[in-house]
Amino acid sequence: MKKITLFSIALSLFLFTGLFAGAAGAADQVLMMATTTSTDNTGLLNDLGPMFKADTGVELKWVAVGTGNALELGKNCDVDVLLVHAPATELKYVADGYGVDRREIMFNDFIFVGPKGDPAGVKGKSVNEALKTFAARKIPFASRGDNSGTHKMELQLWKAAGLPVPDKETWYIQTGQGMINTINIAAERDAYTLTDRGTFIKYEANWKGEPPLAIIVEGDAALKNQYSVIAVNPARCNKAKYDLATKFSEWMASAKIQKAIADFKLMGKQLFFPNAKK
Amino acid sequence: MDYLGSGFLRALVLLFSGDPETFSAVTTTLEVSSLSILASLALGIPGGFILGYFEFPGKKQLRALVDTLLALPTVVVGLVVYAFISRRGPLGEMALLFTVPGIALAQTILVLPIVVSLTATAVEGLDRRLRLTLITLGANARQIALQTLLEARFAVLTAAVTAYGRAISEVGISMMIGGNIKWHTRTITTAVALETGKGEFAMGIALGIVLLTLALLVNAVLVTLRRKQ
Amino acid sequence: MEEQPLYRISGLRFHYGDTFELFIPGMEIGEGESIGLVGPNGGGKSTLLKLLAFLETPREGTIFFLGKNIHGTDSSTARNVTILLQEPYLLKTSIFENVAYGLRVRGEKDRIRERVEEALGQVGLPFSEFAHRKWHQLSGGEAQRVALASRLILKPKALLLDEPTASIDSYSTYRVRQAIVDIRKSLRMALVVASHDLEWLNGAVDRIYKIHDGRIIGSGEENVIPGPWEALGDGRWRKALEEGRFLLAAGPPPGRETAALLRGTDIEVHVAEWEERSVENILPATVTGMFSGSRRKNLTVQVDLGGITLQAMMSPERADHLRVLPGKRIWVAFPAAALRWLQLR
Repeated sequence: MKKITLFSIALSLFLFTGLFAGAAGAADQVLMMATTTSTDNTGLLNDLGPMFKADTGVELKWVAVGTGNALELGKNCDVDVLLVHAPATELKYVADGYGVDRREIMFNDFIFVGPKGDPAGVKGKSVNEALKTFAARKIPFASRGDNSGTHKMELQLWKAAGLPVPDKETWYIQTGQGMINTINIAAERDAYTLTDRGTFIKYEANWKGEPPLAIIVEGDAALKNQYSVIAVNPARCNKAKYDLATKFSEWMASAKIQKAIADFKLMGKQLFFPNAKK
Repeated sequence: MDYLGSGFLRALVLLFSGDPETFSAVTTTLEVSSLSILASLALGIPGGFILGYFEFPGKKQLRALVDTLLALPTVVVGLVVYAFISRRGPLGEMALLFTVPGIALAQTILVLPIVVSLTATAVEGLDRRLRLTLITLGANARQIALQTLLEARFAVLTAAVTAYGRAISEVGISMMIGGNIKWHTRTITTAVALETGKGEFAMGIALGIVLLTLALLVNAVLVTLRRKQ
Repeated sequence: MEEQPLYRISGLRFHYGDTFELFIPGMEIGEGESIGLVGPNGGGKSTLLKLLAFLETPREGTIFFLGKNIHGTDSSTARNVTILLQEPYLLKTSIFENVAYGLRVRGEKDRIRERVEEALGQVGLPFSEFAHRKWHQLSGGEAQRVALASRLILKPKALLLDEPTASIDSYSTYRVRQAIVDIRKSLRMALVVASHDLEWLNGAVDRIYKIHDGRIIGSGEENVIPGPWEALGDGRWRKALEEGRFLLAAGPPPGRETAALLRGTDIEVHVAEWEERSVENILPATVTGMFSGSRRKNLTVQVDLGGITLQAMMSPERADHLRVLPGKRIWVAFPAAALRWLQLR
């Protein structure tokens, strides 16, 4: 008799979850996107997702991962569209036939942040000068080290400064974690790090405007962080919803959404700058 | 560092204000873990029973394998399952990636060794007089097997609780297979990971407390069940 | 038609490892007959019971049950036999379900409740008080009685009991014994019971077998005196007892460790030491027990010789005349030639 009670509870649980699964399966058109943590963590997509649904009737689902991971998901046909920020890699990705219709949507910029007192004395200097100072004086520097867009940008900057990547140096801290965590680690270790501006504004917001780190280097042309939408190549992935991906790409470039991106603010600061070409 | 205090307060607010995001993560968590537990019990109890009850060649090796699989890291399960259910994988046609059944499938693989191993241990640990008693009372082979499983039911319940704890608390699989998609596959643990990634530590702790509350409720139900028997 | 015995054993052999072997050349148990098994622990009583219950399979020889050679797989025949193990095991469910289990596996549905109530009543457990209890809500003696009730309800042709009262309280012992007496009055059920309690066995069973080292060595009236023996050189052999005393046997034994048998009727009991050259063994002893069997005229007097225990037989009149009582110091006398070597095989 006890058997039966246990069994009936199990059965009702099963039916209960079955109902849920049924409800979830009844969704209409869905566009699956892989994007980077910066667009998700700042809350931009939480605003844009419902707007897209209202305008087109298509539900936007996204997974927020590192750019490397996002590109890989596209390669494996697990998503329909990408919103990423690693232009050099993206161009190769498209050239290799994994993605099509790359369209630049918006940018923000990368900044070097570091301890408020700027122990390396690089405030206001160029990126190249700052990196050379870090390497020469063995100033602690925190790197994402996770193949993300930010990480790719950092590697590119070392290369542009004519320096080897300080992979095994004791002062070079490779966190392997997300941007906020990497900033936190930099703060704990009195280190400098490279971050996108949006995430740093979010970080400042968490500290209620009194963060232990400050912006040290900004405004260098090399620090531009370009975000683009890429559709997954329908010729490679027959299940990819190319029509919806195109719809999304055009919607992102539309005047209305470009304005919405410009209007998206955190702590009263603009995070992303729309630059889609008509 | 008042994360703990403010996290606790936030947890209370989340639980009692009916915050829709939290509620969605709670129902997703319950859905996923209930599905995976039911599947792993449906497979694991008979499997564990066979492993513990019968003698067959290779039994010891199989037992060692199952016990080794207890140490499966969630990310490894996630990776392997991803390789299978990715659209370019052998099971890509089933479109399980980034869905609740997909997470449940991977979690089933994660907790199945727990159910099998604990059930087998429970059956092996039964009193040797049980079998003699059942035979002498006239039970046939099928009746002996059934009663043996019934005698092990408390230990099997423990296996289910242990497996549930593992399923409800894991994050690697839910993140990799579920994708942490808001309103769809965001579980409590992936939400904690997200909040931590955003630097919202207090919110992360609040969600952690919500998870513990959930686990407490599930355990309370099972304890009541056990007491009733 | 000639009536088949319930059990007929021929050439039965069973091994545990290399050291223990049970060997029973031949034995019959009739329907409704009751047999007692006595002997030291590890001698083979429990093994014989398990073989009779078809829980173990003979390595050699056969056990015929009502003329059929049973191989243990024949559950329909095996269902006529049930054994109560020394330590009872109750299923993890209610007392009611424990007692009803044997009926349920037989697919019986008639009057289950009444039959459970009757069986519990037979072992002195009121239905209203015990039926709903869980397996863990019982004392050891109550558990043993529930286990017995779950066998009695089956009304088997043979009930096998292994030390049914070895580890339970005196009231439960009384109830178990009473239940066995009662059911044998109403049912023609064979009973095979292993017990250390000779006094009870003498009153409860028709025949007693003594089992020693895997062999049936007598009817229980014979004392078994284990070795080792040492030669005295004059054809006699002796076994050392406590306090420097010896017991003499007319040799030679087949082996130093061979046991000797001594019939209880060959032992004389006296209250004082006396001189009589023809009796080699005259030894002081303490009376440790006295009991009478319903089937026998003689009284059994159990005595401790300092290291070994013997059972002497005497008439009630003589016991009364000598004022033999437990605890009393007496003398026992028997000739060396009364000891016969135990011939195995």
